[in-house]
Amino acid sequence: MKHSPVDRFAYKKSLIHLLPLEVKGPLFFIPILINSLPLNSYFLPSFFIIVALILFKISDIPLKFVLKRVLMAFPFLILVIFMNPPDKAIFFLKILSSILFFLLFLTTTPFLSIMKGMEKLGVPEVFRLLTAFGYRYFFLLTDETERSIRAWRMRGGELKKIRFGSISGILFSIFARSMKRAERIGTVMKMKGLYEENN
Amino acid sequence: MKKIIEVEGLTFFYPETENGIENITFNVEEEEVIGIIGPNGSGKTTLLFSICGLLKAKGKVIIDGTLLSSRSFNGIREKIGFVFQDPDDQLFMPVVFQDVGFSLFQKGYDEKFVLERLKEVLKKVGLEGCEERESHKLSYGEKKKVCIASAIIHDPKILILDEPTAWLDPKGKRELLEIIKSLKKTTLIAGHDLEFLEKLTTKIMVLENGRKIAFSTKEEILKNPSLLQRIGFE
Repeated sequence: MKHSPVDRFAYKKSLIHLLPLEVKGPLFFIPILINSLPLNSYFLPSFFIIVALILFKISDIPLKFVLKRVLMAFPFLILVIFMNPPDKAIFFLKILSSILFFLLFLTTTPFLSIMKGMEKLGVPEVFRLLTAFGYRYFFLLTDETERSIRAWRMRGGELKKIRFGSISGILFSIFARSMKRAERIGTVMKMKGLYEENN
Repeated sequence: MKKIIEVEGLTFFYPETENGIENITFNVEEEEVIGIIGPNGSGKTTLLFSICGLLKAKGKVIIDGTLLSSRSFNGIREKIGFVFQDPDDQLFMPVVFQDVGFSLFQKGYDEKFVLERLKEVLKKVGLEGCEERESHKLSYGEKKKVCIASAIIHDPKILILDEPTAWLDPKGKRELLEIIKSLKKTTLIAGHDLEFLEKLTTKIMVLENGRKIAFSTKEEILKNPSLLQRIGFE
C-alpha cells in the first residue's frame, strides 16, 4: 500500500536534515517553549512562522505537504482556540508556529533517529515501545480502514447516501479486526520474550 | 538421532467451542523437517501454539529434554524460532533493526553484538543492508524474510513456520524454500502447499478436526490419494 507518512522526506540530505539530533531537537523545541510562556505579542509567533517556513524551504520539504499536515490538526486547533476566550489571534499564531516547528522536526528526522534520541534522553522504555508500536501500526490501521472503505464502495456505498448504520458497521469491523490483531501481536510479543522480566 | 520434540496426549479446546486438538502424540528427531497439513480449522496453528506453550494444553511436551511448563516457558521459547502466518503481526517494531534485534535487546545484549548478529541473519535470508528499512515499506516477500531473520537471530534449535507460503508469489516461495533448506534446523511447517512441503519435509502429519489421522514419510502420505481426498487436498 502507498503511504504518506510524516517522515516521508526525512531521508533527504539538506543542511537541516544533516543537523545532529542533539542540536536540532533543542533548536526546534525552543520556539515551542517560548510559545508556552504567557507573552501577549503578535511579533514572536509570527516571526517563528516565517522562520519555520524558511527552514521548510531550506529542507526541501514541499509546502503543500506541510499544509496538508497542518490542516489535519486544524479541527483540534479551532476547538482549542474557542475554549480560550482572550487573545484568540495570538493563541492561534502560537499554536500554528508550534505545530510548524514540531512538523519541521518530524519531517527532517528519520524515525529511527527519533527513537535513538529518546533513548539518549532517558525516556522510559515503555514510552519508547508505545511510540514505536504506534508508528508501526498507524500504517496498518490506515490500510485496514482503506480496505473496509473500498469494500463498502464496491457494494454501492456512497458518501451522499451515507447512513449511520453503514458507518458504524465499518467502524465495528475495523475495531474487531484491530482487537484480533492485537491478540495475535500479544502472542508474538510473548514469543519474542517481551514479558520475560515480568515472569 | 536424538529426539528433540516429544509430544504426548496433547489436548486443547478453545473455551465454549469444540475447536482445538485432541490427544496428539508424536516425536520429532533432530534436523527432521515435519509438515503438518489439514483443512482450515483442523488444528494446525493450535498444535504449533500448544507445542511452544503459547496455549496451555493438557498433555506432555518435552523440548530438547525440557518439560514444558509455565516455569520453563522462557527457556523453551529460546529454543524455538516461530514464524507467524501474517508478517504484519510479527513485525511489530517500525524498523527492521529494532524488530529483528528485539529478542536480543530484551535479553540485554549490547547494540554492537546485536548489529553483528543482525547482519549475519539478514545475509542468510538475502536481505543484506536492510537494517534501517522501515517495516511498512517492505514488500510482502521481504516481510516474510525479515520474520525468518527475527525468528533465527537467537539461533534456536527448532524453527516453526505457520503457513509460510500464504500470499507469496512463486519467486517468493522459491526463495523461502532455499532459505529454510540452508538453515538446517529441526523444522515444523504447517500449511496447505503440498508442492512446497514435498520439497522440504521428511515426514508429514495429517490433521482432521483436531485429531492426528496420519503421520508418516512424505512419500507415503503424498501417494495416498484417498487420504488427501478425505481432507480435501485432492
